[in-house]
Amino acid sequence: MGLFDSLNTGMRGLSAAQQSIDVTGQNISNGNTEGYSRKRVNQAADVVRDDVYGERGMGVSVTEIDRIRNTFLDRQTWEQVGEKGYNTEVDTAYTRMENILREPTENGLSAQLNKFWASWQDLANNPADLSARESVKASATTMIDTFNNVYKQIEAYGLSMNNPLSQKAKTVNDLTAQIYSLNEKIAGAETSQGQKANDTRDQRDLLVRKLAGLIDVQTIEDQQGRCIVTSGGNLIVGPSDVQKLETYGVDKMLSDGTKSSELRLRFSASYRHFEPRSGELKGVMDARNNVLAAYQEDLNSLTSAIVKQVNEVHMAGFNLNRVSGVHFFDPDKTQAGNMALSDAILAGAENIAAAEGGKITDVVTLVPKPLVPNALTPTLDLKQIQSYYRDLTKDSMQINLVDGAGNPTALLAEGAGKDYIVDYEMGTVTFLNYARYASGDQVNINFSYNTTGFSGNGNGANSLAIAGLRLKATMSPDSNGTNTQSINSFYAATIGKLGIEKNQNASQLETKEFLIAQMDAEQASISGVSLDEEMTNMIKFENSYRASARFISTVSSMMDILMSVGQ
Amino acid sequence: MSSRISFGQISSHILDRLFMNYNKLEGIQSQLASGKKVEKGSDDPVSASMSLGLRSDLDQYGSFQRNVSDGLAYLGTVDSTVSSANSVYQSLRERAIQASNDTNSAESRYFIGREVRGMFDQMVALSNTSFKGEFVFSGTNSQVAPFEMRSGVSKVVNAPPALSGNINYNAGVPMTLIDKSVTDSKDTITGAANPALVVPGSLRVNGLTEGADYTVDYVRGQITFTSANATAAVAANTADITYEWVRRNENDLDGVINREIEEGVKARINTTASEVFGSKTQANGAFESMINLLEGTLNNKPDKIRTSIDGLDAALKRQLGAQSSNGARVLRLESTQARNDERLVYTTKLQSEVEDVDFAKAISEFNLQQTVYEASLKMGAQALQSSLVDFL
Repeated sequence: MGLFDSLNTGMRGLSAAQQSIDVTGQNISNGNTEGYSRKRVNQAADVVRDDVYGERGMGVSVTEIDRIRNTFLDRQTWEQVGEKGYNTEVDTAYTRMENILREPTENGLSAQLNKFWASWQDLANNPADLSARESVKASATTMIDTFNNVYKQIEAYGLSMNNPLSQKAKTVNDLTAQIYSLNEKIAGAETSQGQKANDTRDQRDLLVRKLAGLIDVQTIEDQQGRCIVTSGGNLIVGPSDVQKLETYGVDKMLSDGTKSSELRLRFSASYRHFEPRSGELKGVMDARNNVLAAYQEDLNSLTSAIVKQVNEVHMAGFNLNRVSGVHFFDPDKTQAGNMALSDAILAGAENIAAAEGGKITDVVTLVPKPLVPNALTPTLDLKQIQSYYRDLTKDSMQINLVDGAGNPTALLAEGAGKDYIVDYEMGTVTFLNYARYASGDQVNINFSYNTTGFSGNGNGANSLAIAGLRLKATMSPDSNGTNTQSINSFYAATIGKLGIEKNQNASQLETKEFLIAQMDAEQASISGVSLDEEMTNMIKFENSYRASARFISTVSSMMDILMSVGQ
Repeated sequence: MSSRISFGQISSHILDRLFMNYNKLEGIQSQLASGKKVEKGSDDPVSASMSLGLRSDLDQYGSFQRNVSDGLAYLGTVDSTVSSANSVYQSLRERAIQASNDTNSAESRYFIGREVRGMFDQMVALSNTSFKGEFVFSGTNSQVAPFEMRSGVSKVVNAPPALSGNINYNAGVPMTLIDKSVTDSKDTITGAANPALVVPGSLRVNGLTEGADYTVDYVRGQITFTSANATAAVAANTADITYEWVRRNENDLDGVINREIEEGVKARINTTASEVFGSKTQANGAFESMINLLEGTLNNKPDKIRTSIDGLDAALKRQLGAQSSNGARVLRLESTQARNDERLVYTTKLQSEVEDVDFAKAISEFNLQQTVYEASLKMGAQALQSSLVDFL
């Protein structure tokens, strides 16, 4: 062992201290770099075999530069990041739904529904009044417009999701391509033991985390250090290739009859359908296929109940033209998106059936009836002349006897023992006293009968019946088929459901965010750069550098001494 | 427990807390600005759904209040009409009693008759009272007048056809009048009408005299030709009869008009013509009695006057019945109105409790959150300030 060896030992100390200072510098510089993990220089004492001592120190050597990071924690974080991405997208959809429905406000659907029912109440007060009829028509039109508008906004929102879907699919492709190229870089750099592509790994972890926010991600590292990524059981980033995603359109029929395209995901090479299990992409697709669709369906059941119930009652009533059986809403358009007034109502408000059918009296004169009362056919059944000639008005019967020339000769008397008796309920006349009739005599019959029909413009009972549908249980049948909800309470329940679902999702989102923050804090406490620590290290390494230099200068003066001995 | 705390950890932690506090602050600020606790369904799903129900209830109470006040106005119209009818009946009865006195000469009875005719017309007008353009005594057939004064024309001919609406002559037998002037079939009356309630004093037959040539049953609308003159007039085709008659609408005038005054509770508000003036089938109808009185006074027939007094008594009783049941309806609606008012107040209060912000509470919470936010800002600023670098 000579002085040169000592010089060498000093030099190694210098070099190790310098490398450590370098790494400290790197740590300090990257203190704010996203995804950066602090590095640490691992040193080991160099030894050589010595015949006398067995082993002798040869200074220090840097064995490796370590990346300090808990990769297990990373994997857990990625999973939560995916869930968070999912909940975030769904939350956006719920928020949008709330904004579209705008409840509870003065202009939302429930307000329009209330105005619609109230207008029927007002019509019941003034059934013959055209302005009250116009107001029913106007409030119905506003309600229909609101339904149409709300439904179309939801529909448009669903279609607008095509955009984020294709953008996010592009981002996935971008990320997987980058991961693949970093994989190659890492595999190339880490060819032998101890060589570590630390900063590239940091970058790759950051990319995988971003990818995990979009789709579910499972990773395995192969022997060359490549990160193999699978998602939903599909290989996305393989050792030698990347599976690219693409979007494809599926035809979708809209409520206004036009066709549009709804995007889905597939692999561009195999055309195989891809369904992510979490992440923003799943969030977007679930928001569209479940959240929006469910509320569209609720709105549709609401409108079809309104159309069906109102039409049913409306058809039973009579309008100002004395006609019943008229639809109020177009019976073929029961969806929230296409609901419309019927043509008859559009043609005129007088076709609104405010009146209930009632008993009315019609007057009939059968003149002259070629009938000779005789003992063979004593009974004249008026029902056989017209089936509705029954339920005659009491005491309305008046029978004139007419001679062969058609001249009235006498008014016949009603009553037992007189000329004829009448069964008013059955609509039959039985002639008695045949002796008084001469050959060729005929009768001339006048009577009124009761029938069901238009009961007058002043009748608003049907309008009231329609207003009563507001709180009548007509929806959501239970297991016995008994309806449990009215149109209004169904809508209130829908709004309540939306709020509850949104809050559930929001609280899940909050939990995920909290978890991620915790995990990030844990990771930061392991791999984050602490300036205080780095400063302490810097002083430490600076001192060690200074000491090594001092050692070299000591050895150097020792060599000087030795040299002077030789002179 | 981790002992290492890095700079980034502290800064992200501080930011997280700041955001959280700021979010809370924003939530309360938004409540204070709108004055509503529940702006969106998700603010409080149960309250939101309850608030929708309450709004619907309030709306409905509003409808009921409108129904009730409309009903009260209707009842008021009926009440004033029925009271007017009452005073007309009273005057008619006075005149009838006056006229029934046998000291009256035919002439003085005639003058009473002229007066009665005026009251008769007034009664027809009263029966046609309308509310917002609808006849109040016509039941649900409110577009048609219950009683209508018409001028009738009938022609008596000697030969068929009977279908043309002419009356076939039959001497000595009561012939039912056929009013040829009635042509409308809109009110479900088909063909020409058989007039009843012919007004005494208005019937004229060309060149013939009542009593000498013909007799009339005014209430039933039947005429009987009794003289040779009459036969000659028919043969000469000049037997045209002109008269005025009160047409009682043939439609069902007994329809009930209701107003929904509370949930599921319907109250009747109308009074029908039969209830005030008597129906077609009832004896002692108001118009029948007045026609008897008119005939008795104008044609000096004391027995008809006496019959009419009985009829008027019955009519008066009937009218008082109608007036008192109308009064009972007014009371019912008024008490419901008071109840609905109370309900409106309670429900509005409940809605406010569900929807509106408790300002005192919200403001104190706002102050608290503001303090917390400011504290976290200050703490963050100080914690991030120092590091070992400052001391080297």
